[in-house]
Amino acid sequence: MIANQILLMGSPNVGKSVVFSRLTGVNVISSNYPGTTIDFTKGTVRIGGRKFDLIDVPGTYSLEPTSKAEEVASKMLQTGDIIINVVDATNLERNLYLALEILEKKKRTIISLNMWDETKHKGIDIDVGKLEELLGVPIVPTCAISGEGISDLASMIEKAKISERIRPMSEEERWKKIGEIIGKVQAVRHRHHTIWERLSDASVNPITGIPLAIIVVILMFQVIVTLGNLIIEYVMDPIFYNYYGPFIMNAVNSFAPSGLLHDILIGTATELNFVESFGLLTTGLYVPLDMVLPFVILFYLMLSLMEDVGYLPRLAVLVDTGLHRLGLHGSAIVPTILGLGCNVPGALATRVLETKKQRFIAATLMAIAVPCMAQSAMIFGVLGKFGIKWIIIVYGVLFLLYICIGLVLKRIVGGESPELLLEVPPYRMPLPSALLKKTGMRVRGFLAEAVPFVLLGVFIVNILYISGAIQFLSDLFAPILTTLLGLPEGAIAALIMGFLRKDIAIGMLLPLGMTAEQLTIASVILCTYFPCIATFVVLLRELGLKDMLKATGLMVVVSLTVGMLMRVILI
Amino acid sequence: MIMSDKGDLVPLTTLIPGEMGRVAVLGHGRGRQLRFRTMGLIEGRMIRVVATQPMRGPIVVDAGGTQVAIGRRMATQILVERMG
Repeated sequence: MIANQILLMGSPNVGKSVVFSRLTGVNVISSNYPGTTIDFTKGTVRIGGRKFDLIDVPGTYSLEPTSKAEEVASKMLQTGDIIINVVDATNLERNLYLALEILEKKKRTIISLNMWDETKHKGIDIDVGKLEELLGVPIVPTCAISGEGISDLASMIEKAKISERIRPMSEEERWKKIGEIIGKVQAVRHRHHTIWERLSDASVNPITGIPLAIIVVILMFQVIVTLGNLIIEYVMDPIFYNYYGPFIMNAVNSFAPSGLLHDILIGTATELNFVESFGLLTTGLYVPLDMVLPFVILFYLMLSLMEDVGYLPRLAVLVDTGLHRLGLHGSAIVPTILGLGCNVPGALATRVLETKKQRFIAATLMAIAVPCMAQSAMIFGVLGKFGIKWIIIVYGVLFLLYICIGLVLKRIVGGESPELLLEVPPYRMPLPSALLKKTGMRVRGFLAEAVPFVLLGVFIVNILYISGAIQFLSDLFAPILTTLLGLPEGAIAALIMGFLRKDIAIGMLLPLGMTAEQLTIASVILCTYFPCIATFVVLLRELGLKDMLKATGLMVVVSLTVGMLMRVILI
Repeated sequence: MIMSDKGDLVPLTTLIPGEMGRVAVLGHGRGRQLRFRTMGLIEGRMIRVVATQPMRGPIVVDAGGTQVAIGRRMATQILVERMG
C-alpha cells in the first residue's frame, strides 16, 4: 500500500518536532535551540484508518537555498502530497514568509498555528477566520507542548487544500503582502515586560549574564556530583553488594567453580570485587550501571532542563567572543556540552555549525579535550580519593588543550569561519513530562551504546590476557609507556580498552597500584589519544576519511606530547 | 519607503544597550538580507539593542519580540536610524 506523504515544515524553533512526536507518537529530541533537527525524521500517522508517512523536514526560514537545511527542505517539498506548515503564532509576521512561499508551490497545505496559548500572555490577538480566508487554506490553532489542538489538526489533515488566494510573487511583493495580512488579522495590546523577559535580557547582558552563567554551570555540576554520589551510596551500591554480588558469585560458582568460564564471567579472585575482578558479570555490569549510570541520568536531566528552558542560546551568545578566537562561534557550545554527556551526539551536533572548517575544528576539539560523562564519572571515582587537586589538573589540562589546539587550528585549517547569527528564543517553562521523556530517551541511548561495548571490551581484554597478547604488547610498548610517559607497562591494557570504552579503561588503571601523578597522566592520555570506537565511526561519517585521518594524527601527537610534558612537570 | 533623510543613518553597532533604532539598510547579499528579514530585522521596523558583548563580541537585538544575536562585523553592515 502506498501511503500518502505528509511533510511537516516550518521555521526553526516553532515547535515542529513536538508537533511531529504528538502526531506520530514517535519520540524525537526537540530543544529550544534553533536548528536542532538537521536530519529529517520519518514516522507514520493514522487518520481514519488510513496510514500516512509523516516527514519532519529540517527547520528553515525560507525556501531559497541559502543554507544546507534550506536546500534539503525545498527539494523535499516537491515530494510531498500534503504540507503541514507549523507557524509560531507569537511571531506570525516573520513566519508568514515561509508560509507564503509554501502556498505559492500549489501543494495541498494546512497550517498549524502553534504556541497559540502564548499569544494570550503576549497580548497578541489573531483573527484565525480572517487569516484562513486571506491565505485560502485551513488553519488549526495548536499548542503542541500540552497537546491542545493536535487531534483537531490530525482530523483536519485530509481537508488540506491548494490555496486559490496566493499566487507566485517576488520577495518584495511577499513582504508587502505580509504587511497587509498582518494589518488585517493581528492586533497587539501593550503590556509590561514579564519576569521571564527581564531574566532573558539579564542573561545576555555580560555584566549580569556571565556571573549567572558561572552560577548555572556550578549548580549543574553540584547537583550531578552530589546527587549522583547519594544515589550510588544509598541505592546502587546496596543493590550490587548486598543482593546482586552474593547471588552472582554463588550462581557462577555452582556451575563453574573454576576455569576459563569462571574467570571470564566473574574474574579470578575468590572474593567479590566489582571494580578489579574484571569479569563480564561483575566489573562489566558494575562500572556502567553503578559507577556511571547515576551521573549520566543526572547529567541528561540537567542538560534537558537547560535546553527546554532555552538557556543554551544565551550561553552561546556569552561564549561567542571566546570561541571566535578558536575559529568557531557561539553555537559550538552545543556540540561541546552534548559531548560532555556522550561524544557521539556531540559529534552529530557539530552540524549546527555552517562551514566545513568550523565542523572540523569543533569535532577535533571535542574528540581530544571533552571527556564524556562516563569517563568523567570514572576519573572522579579513581582520582577522587587522592584529592580534588588531581581532578582539577586533569580538567585544567584538557581545557588548556581545547584553547591551544583551537588557536592553532583556526590558523592552519583552510576555509571560512563565519560569525554568529542566532535567534535567541524566549525562555519557556519546561513541561516535566516532556523533560522526563527526553531524559529517558537519552539514558536509553547511553545504555544501548555503553553496556554492549563494555561487555565486548571486557570479553576481548580477558581473551587478550589469557592468550598472552597483553604481555606481548606490554613488552613491545614498555619503552614508550615507562620511559616517555612514566606509566607502568600494564597500562597498555587500559589503552587498548580505551579504543572501545573510556569508562572501563580508566577503571582498569586501578589494579595497577599507580600513584596519583601517574593516574592523572594516564587519565589525560586516555581522554586525548583516540575517541572511543562509537565516536570514531560517527566522526568518520561526518568528517570523511581524509579529515578524520588528520584529526586522528593530531590526537596521537597531542596525547604523547602532553603526556611527556606532564611527566616532566609532575613526576 | 519610510526613510527620507538618509544622512542620519548609523551602523547598528553604534547603538548602546537600551537604545532603539529603525532598520534602514541591510547591507548584505540577498540571501543574508532575507535571513535577517525572516528573523524580524525588516526595513522600517523598530529594533532595540538588548546587550553587546565585550571585545567585539556579538550584539543582541530585540526585533518585534524576537531576540537575535548578530556577529559584530555582520552588524556593522546594518544601518539604522537612531531613535534614542
